[in-house]
Amino acid sequence: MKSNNLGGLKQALVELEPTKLDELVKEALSSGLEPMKILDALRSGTEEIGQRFEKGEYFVSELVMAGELMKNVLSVLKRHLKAETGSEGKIVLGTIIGDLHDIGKEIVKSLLISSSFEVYDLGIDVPPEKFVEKAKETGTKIIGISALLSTSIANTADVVKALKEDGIRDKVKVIVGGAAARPWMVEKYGVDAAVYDAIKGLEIIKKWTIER
Amino acid sequence: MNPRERVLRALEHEEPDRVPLDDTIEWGHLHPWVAAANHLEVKTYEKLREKLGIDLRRVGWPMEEEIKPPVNPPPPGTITQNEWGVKSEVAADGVHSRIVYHPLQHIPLSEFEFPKLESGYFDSISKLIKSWREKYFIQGIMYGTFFETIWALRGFNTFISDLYANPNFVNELLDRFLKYRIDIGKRFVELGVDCIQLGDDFGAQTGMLVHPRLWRKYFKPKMKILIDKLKKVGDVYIWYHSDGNIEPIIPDLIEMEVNILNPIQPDCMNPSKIKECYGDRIALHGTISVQETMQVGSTEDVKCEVATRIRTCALGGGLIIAPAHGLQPSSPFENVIALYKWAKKYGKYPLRT
Repeated sequence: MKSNNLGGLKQALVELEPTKLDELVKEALSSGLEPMKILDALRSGTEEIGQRFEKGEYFVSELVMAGELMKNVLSVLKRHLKAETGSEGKIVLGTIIGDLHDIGKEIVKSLLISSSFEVYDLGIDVPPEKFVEKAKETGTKIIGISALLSTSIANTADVVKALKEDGIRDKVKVIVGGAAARPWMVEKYGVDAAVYDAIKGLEIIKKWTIER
Repeated sequence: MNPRERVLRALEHEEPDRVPLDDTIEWGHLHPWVAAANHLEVKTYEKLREKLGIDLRRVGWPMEEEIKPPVNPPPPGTITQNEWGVKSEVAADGVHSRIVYHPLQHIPLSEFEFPKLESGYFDSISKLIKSWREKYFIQGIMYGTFFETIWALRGFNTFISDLYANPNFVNELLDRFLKYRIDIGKRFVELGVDCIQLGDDFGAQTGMLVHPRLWRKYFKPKMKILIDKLKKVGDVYIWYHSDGNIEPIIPDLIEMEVNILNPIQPDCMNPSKIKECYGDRIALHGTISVQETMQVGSTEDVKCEVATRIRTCALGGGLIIAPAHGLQPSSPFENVIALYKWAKKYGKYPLRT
């Protein structure tokens, strides 16, 4: 495959065509194309998917499908990419304690991985101290908290409290995302950002990474 | 004018004596309803409905009639299984749960058996319908008609992938569901319900979960067949439920002869806009915020929201007020009382300008 055919790879992802994408990835690898170039093309595809979502042309189903496609491609490219993922930075991700929803978190995770973030996914129903422990252990400067339930999202404040108690609040940015997230939570819970849109969340995280 | 006549008048887009009222007792957490019942000193849900002035009744979701304190939650980690074989794990809060076993990821569709209704299921429903028939507007419940039950069986991400990569499987699955729903729905209609409650959560907070193109490709045709079949069996209204924002498909629902749209969460869709655009063709049911007002608002906030909704959505009938979903456990019972008190006061026709 010639590098000018990378547009086809991107297009197969953007148009959510599983068979075509699978074939093109295999073809690209067998022709000796660098995996990072494949990933770059697909990253640009996820950006276009995000733009289509923002314009109301794509919906959650398309983000999920793109995430599934990216997961499959990444599993194929994994062994080639070990040294290269994480070039954008690290993030600790989890659904807050009391909340077991993970669809939103999975979407954000896929977007982050395909944007070259190294993601430490703590899963669902995560207690505040686990977020802090993982951030310290990995030297991560960003914590992403997912929350669908308005009854559980208040627990986000406990993550901020735990960071303060550990003396690392000023070193770590905290973003909360999900259907229950509201802008007023920045002030009330002491987080740095609160969004209910995965794409906006990704934009903020990227901005923080550049600022650092 | 009795409650049934009141609802029928509103659904025909005419003004009854007041805006009809409904509850969401079976939908969410019982705590606020139990607290309201204690405050009003009633011992059964039927008495509670009478006290609050509820005009509609539901059949098909059996629950104990006697009001008891909410039972102790099962310990976190407990695995439960529903009639479809879907297994869920109880969360740390003992209230919510997460699906941990999707049968159709393990069993081929050809070998999968649909649940059989318990013998006597329709006997108890028939009794309830007879006892309510003259006075109340009765709804037969068939929520989770297609999508919600199917993705629980198959897994959300897996089923979304199926919509793109496995159309034959999706259509075969939907056809089996269609037959199952027609069989149950027909029985409801034959027993004399006024309305069939259909629906699936296709809406997220700001937009649809599933692309409207996919909804039109897979779900709309099956739902249309179901609605046509049910309307042929008897003179029933069709009620369609979806959480969240489903604005793109409202014209489709009207085209499919859906009569009532629920719950129109004001946090996701603007009820007055829906009324303005479609209010002459579809009735609005719900509309009072459970994410904000009923949960964290004051009784004054509830009063304001009820007044606003009636002012902007009740003109010419076509509005049934209820919480826009099940109440969260922390919702104060005072807000439940306030909702119905002010809806009865402000909802009298002719409306005050």
